[in-house]
Amino acid sequence: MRGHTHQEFETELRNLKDRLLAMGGRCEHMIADAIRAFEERDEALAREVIEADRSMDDDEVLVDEQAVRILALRQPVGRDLRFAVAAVKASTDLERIGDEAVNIAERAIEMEPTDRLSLPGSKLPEMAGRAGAMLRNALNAFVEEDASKARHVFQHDDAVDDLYTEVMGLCLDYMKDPSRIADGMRICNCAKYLERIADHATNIAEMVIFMVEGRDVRHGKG
Amino acid sequence: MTESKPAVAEAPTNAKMETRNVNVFYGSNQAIKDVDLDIADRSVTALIGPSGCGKSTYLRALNRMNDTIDICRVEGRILLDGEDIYGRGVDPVEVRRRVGMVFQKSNPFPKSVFDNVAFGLRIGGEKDKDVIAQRVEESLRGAALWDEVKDRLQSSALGLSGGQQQRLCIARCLAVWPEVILMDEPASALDPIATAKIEELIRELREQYTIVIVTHSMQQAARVSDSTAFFYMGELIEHDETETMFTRPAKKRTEEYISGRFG
Repeated sequence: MRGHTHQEFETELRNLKDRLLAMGGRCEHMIADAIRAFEERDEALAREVIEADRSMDDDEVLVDEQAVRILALRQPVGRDLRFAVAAVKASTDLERIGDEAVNIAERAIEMEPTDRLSLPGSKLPEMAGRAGAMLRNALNAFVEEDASKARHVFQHDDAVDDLYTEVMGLCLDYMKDPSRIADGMRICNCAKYLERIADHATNIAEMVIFMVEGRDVRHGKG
Repeated sequence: MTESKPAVAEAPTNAKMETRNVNVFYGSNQAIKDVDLDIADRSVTALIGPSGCGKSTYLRALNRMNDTIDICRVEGRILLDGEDIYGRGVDPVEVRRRVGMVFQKSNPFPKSVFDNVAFGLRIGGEKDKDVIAQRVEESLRGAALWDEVKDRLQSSALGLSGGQQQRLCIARCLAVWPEVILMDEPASALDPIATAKIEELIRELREQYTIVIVTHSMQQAARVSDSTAFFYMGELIEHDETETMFTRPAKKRTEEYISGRFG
């Protein structure tokens, strides 16, 4: 599609998109760092993740401000309108992904110091890898405005859900020893955070489909 | 997404006007190409498109206003309640009574407010003063102008504000009991408040009349119309419910136009 006659409007849309993508990129790093902090019991890295979340919160507010400004001053229609709406919704999902990464980092700090990961804990990096890939794919679909790529994201959500169920089962066994209950609960929680991250990535993919096709596929529609 | 055939939503079952294979020529220049479009009864249809796309030409074909242009030729069928308005023996004056028109620039006659509204009735042969007075009041009320002019009906219409003059022209149109009202950018020369009054009036008039409006304002089309037709280079590109046209149009060219990418 050709560019807008109003170059300034074109620039505003591009700036909004760039800010969202920057948020997305930071989210990916936060997830990867949080899970590495968990694996390696690296408290300093965990604190970096917590610190990084501040800029995520600021970005969410800025994205909303930019989108509201575009809605008020440019009165976008068609795909531009859908983009502005999708941006507001996606920024909320990205901010919450940041919050989940912070939760993982906090649990990492709380974990008992041990030399190696327990069996249920060892599953978390795989979950994080899959959830992170879902986010990356959703963001790529957003950049390329590719609805079919966005649809691929949904398929991976089931794998993350399966891993979540598996970790829960492993944790139950792990916590049969009462001394492990505290760490076992932390691992369960981290698995839940990662499962939520995958859900947020799915939400973003749904927004990409709305933006590209004008179809609302949330809650099994479309 | 194919760009060749127009994307036209299912034809309304309550079409007041139907246009079939309409072509309009100015001399050898073809201004309208093979347009099929139905105008739903008691609704507002907006015609949008860049300058020179043919929307005003098409509008003027709907009440044979193009007859007044010597080099203009209309082909195809334009039906009003199923009857061809270009048919043999059809009186164009009667067509224009049933299909009234309001222009971009308000054009009150240099007469009193009352005489402006009564004009069409009088040339139509109405002589009963009571009937005329009643219809003038009805029409001014219908055009949401009565309260503003009821104490100065005998004053010159040229003393009214721009917005009031435009509503007077709408009242003049209503006085002869039209069925369809064509509006060619009726608010383009008005300030935002006067524009809002005209738009509000259009929404009210659609309860009783079929309205077709040409507008360059996308927001106006979005605000006042039930369906929107997008014209480009003399062709109908897309026609659908207004909400659909402005949120998820089927055609790329529609999308590009309504979102300000050309035109």
